Amino acid sequence: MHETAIAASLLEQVRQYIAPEAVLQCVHLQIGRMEHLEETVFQAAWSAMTNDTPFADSTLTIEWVPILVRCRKCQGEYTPEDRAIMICPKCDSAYPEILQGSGIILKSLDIDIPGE
Amino acid sequence: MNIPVVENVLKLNDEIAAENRRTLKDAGVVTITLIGSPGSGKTTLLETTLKSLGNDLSVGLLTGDIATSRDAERLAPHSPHVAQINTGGSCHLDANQIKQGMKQLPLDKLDLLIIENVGNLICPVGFDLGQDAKIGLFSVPEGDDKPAKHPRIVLEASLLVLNKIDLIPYVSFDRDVFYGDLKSMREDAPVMELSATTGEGIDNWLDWLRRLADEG
Ligand SMILES: Nc1nc2c(ncn2[C@@H]2O[C@H](COP(=O)(O)OP(=O)(O)OP(=O)(O)O)[C@@H](O)[C@H]2O)c(=O)[nH]1
Ligand SMILES: [Mg+2]
Ligand SMILES: [Zn+2]
Ligand SMILES: [Zn+2]
Repeated sequence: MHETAIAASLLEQVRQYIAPEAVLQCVHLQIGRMEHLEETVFQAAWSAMTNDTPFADSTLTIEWVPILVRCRKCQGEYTPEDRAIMICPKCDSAYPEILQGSGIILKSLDIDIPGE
Repeated sequence: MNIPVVENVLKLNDEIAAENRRTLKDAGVVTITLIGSPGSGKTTLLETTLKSLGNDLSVGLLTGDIATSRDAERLAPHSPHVAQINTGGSCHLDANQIKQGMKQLPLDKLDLLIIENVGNLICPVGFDLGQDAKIGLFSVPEGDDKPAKHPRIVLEASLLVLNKIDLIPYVSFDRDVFYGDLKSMREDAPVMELSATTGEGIDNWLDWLRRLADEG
């Protein structure tokens, strides 16, 4: 599953930011609604991936970014109610340009430094 | 304490994809990725393509599967430049696998590189490989509802191919549904119908490939 590949990539990335003495508490992600990612599968992949690492007790929080589309015909912007129906509410045509709603972004990390 | 990062999680993949794209461009190779469900006819289309292209274009092939080298073995009689990539369980090819695969091919001898992704209409779409164009392959027996269920490939593909049209008389595939759904996602979606086994529609496909290779 690609959730595993993405979790593996995230783990490598997180490693670069966490000093040995720090404890990772929470990973904040921002994921677009266009992405093929299932939250529970991804959470499970992260748990499995971090199981034998110092990040085993960390949690993931995901902020889902809604899809925003610009109509190439009338230039109107809208959020489609369904990924499979991109019809513009203003001009009733489907010439979508996706402005927002794709991408998997590592926003920030919550850490604790014991003794500080 | 909160450490701000703001970085693409697939950054490493995207960096390697960009490197692949540069290497291929420098070698003068135009690259496409074929994305379609298991059994939609990706390898068959490539076999027919290689047989019909003649010596027009020099084509290299990278074919991805979870296991076996069967697809590479099927293609090898038609081209000297074939390499198999085994993903070992992964549902998609990634840029690093392509980078390794490219090392097995004589890039400066190629005009066109065709990547057959792992049979899967969903997962491969999110992983850039360094290609110039993504082709989404649907096939008639999969059903007329497949575009509606796979919006991302519909939106991102440079070309959508409907294969196995020779089977239309035998299965309940409604073109109105297929094209109706496409219309509500992307009215100007470029679609080409063909049959990889009978050869119907193959000329359009070959012209499309030749044009792409010329422009690149
Ligand atoms: N009738 C008909 N059968 C086809 C056509 N194209 C492919 N097939 C058959 O569909 C089956 C699967 O074809 P493949 O080319 O192996 O499919 P694939 O997409 O490469 O499959 P994977 O690599 O396993 O994902 C084979 O039995 C082909 O002969 C077609 O246009 N018409
Ligand atoms: Mg195949
Ligand atoms: Zn997957
Ligand atoms: Zn509009």
